[in-house]
Amino acid sequence: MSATAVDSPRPTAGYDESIRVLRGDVRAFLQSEIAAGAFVPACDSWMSGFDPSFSAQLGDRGWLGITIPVAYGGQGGSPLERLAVAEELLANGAPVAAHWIADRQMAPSLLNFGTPEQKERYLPGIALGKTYFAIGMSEPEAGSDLAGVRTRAVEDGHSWRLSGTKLWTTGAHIAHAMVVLARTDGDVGDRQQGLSQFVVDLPHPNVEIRPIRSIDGQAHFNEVVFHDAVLPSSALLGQRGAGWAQVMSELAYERSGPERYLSTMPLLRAWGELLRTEGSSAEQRRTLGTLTARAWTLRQMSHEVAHELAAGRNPNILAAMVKDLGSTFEGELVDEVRRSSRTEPRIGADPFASLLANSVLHMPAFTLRGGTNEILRSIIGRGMGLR
Amino acid sequence: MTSHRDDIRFAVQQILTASAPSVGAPIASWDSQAWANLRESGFAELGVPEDKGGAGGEVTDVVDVVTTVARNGVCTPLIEHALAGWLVSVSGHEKPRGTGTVAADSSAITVTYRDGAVRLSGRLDAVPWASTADWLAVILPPNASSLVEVAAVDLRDDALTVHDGTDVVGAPLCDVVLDSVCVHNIGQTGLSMDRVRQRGALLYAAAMTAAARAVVDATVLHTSARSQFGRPLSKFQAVQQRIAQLATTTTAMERALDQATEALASDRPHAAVAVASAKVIVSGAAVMVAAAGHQLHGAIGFTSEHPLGRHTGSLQAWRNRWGSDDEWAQSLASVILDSEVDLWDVVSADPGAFASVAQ
Repeated sequence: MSATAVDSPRPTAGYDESIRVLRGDVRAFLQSEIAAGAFVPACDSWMSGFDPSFSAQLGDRGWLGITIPVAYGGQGGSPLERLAVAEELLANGAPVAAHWIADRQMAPSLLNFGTPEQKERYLPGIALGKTYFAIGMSEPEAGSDLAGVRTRAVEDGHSWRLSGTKLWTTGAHIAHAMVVLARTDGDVGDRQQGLSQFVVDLPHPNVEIRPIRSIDGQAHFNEVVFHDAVLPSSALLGQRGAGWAQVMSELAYERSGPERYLSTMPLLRAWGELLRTEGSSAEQRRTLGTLTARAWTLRQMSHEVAHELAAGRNPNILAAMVKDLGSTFEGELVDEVRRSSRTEPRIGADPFASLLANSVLHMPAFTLRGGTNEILRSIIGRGMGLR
Repeated sequence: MTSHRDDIRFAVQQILTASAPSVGAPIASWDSQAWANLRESGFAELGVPEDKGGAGGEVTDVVDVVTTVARNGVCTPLIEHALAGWLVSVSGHEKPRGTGTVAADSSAITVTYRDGAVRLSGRLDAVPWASTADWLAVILPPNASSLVEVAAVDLRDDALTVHDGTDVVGAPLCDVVLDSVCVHNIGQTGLSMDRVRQRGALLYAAAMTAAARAVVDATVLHTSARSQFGRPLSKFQAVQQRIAQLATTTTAMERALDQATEALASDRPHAAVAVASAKVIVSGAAVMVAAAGHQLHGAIGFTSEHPLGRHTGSLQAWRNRWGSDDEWAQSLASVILDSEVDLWDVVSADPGAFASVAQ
C-alpha cells in the first residue's frame, strides 16, 4: 500500500466548539466590514489586497500570530485555530496581503530557527499585523531549481556582505524585513550544501527594490538587488549552512495553507448569490454543485495536512497533492463560472463582471507560485518510489 | 495494534484470496464461490441487525467489506445484497433467505391491494443481479410524509419476469417486469428517499474508490516492470507526471469517501453534503482514472486476461449507480439555492447551518 492509501480513519474537519465560536466571530466582523464598505471581497486577496489598517485591526483582535507564544505577543493558540481564521479571511476575500507572508511562514520560521533577539524583534509586530515580511528565494537563474541560487553572503569581520538578485519577491516593496536564501560556503555546484538564510531589515541603503508589473495590472512582485549590502552578524537566521533544510520546512507551511484552493472562493460565493436571487438553470446547478463538491473535498484534505503538521509530522506528499489539485481547481473554477454564468469579464461598474475579470487575470499564477504543479508532481512521483 | 476496521479488511482479504477469484474482463462468470464464502462467514450480512437475519455491525463495516472486495476486483452481488437486507430490516422485517438485490429507481411501480395481498406491477430497469439473486427489495414511492416503504418479492415468482443483460464489465444488469406480484413482506422504513440514496451512493463510491486504488497499484507495478528505450517506463518524466496525477486523484477520492462514511455513520448534520460531495468527486473522476490506467499500461492492459480491465470496467459500470455526478451536484446546489444554506457554510460543514435542512 502506498503512503497515501487509506489504512485507518482520518480525523474529520469538524468541530471543536471553541473553534466554531472563533470562526463565527471572524465571520461576523468580516460581514460587518463588507456591509460598511471597508473592503470588497476579492480573489487572490492574500496576494494583492494590501491594507495595513485592516491588518492592524485583525492584529488588535488577536486574530494574527495565533500560533506565536504569548511571551512574544501572540495568542499561544493551535494551528487549527489559525486555520479556521485563515479560511474565513480567504473565503470572504479580505485584504490580508500585507501581513500574510509574515504570519504564515515567517512566524513559524522565527520560532523554529530564530535567536531570542530575532524573536523579540519581529514576532510582536507580526502578531499585531504591523510587521511585514518578504521571502527572497527565486532568482533570475534559479526558480524551480532553487538549489541553484547565486546570491552570495561573504563574511567580513563581524558582518556579512550580501550580493545578488532575488526575483518574484512578493511584497518586498512594503516589507519591513526580508528573508534571503544565500550561499555562504562552497559554490553553486554544491547545490543544497552551503546555503544559509538571513533576515534583512528594509529599507536598506544598498538593497534596491524594483516593482514588476504583471498582467493582472498590479505590481506585487519585485526584483530585489543586493549591492554588496552590509548586514550585521545577527542577521543570520538559524544555522550557517542549514539554509536548505530551513527553507524546506518553511515551504511546508507555504504549501499547505488554505490559500492553495480558496483563492477564487469569493467568485464562487458571489455567483452562488447571483443564482439565488436571479434563478438558475439545471446546468448552472450542476456546475455550482460540482465546484462546491470539489471545494469540500479539498478542504477535507487541507485539514488533514494541518493535522499532520500540528502532530509534528511532515506530510509533504499529501501537501503537494493538495496544492496540485487545489491550484488547478482555483483556475478551473474561474473558467467554469465564466462559462456557466455567461458573463463577459469586464472591469467596470458591474461588481460580478469585475470580480470575474480580475479572477481571469490572476489565473496563470495559481499553478506557478510556491512550486509549479509540474514540480509538485515530481515530488509526488519521488514519494511513490518512481524516481 | 490493529483496529476493528483493519481486522475486517484483513479477514475479508483472506477469504477472497482463498476463493481464487476471477481476473480480467469482460467477466465470463461471476465469483459465486467467493460470494458463498462471504455469505457463510457473515461478512456479506453486515449492516443488518442479527435479529433481522444479519450479522450486525455498522455502515462503516459494510464499506470496509465493499472496499476490500472491490480492491480485489471480485465480482459479487455484495452491494445490492447489503442494501436490500438493510432496507427490509429497517422496514421491520427479517430479511428473506438467499441473495437479495434492489432497484435504485422504482418510480414506475404501482401498488394495488387484491385478494388480501399487496401486489406490485410495473417495470424496473437496470437492476443489478436480478438474474442470479433470489429476492428483490422494491422501494415504494414515498407517501405524503415523504418516508419510504419497502417491499420484498421473490424473484422466482411466476408473475415476475427477468430480462437478462450485462453491464460493461460483464456483471448481470437486468430489467424486471412485475405483473401483480404478491409481496413477501412490506413495511415503513421511517427513512427519506434521500437517506436511502445516500447509502447506495456511499457504497458505490467506496467500490469505485477501491477500484481506482487497484488501478494505481497495477499501474505502478506495470510501469516499474516494463522497460523500453533501456529503462523502466516509470523513469520517464511524462509517465511520472501522469502517475502522480492519477495518484492525487485517487487520494482525493479516498479522503472524500472517508469523510462521507464518517458523516453518514455518525449521522452528522452535514451527512447529505458529505455523501453528495463524495459521489460527485468519485463518479466525476472514475473515467479519468480508467483512462490513465489504460494509457499507462499500453496495449497489454487492453487484453481480456489482464487484471486491469476488471478495475477500469468496474469504474465505467459503476459510475452512475445510485445517482450520477451531475445528479448529486444538483442536490448540492439545491442545498445552497433552495434550502439557502450559504455556499461557504456548505463547504466548511458548519453544523449549525444544517439544522433546518431535511436530511
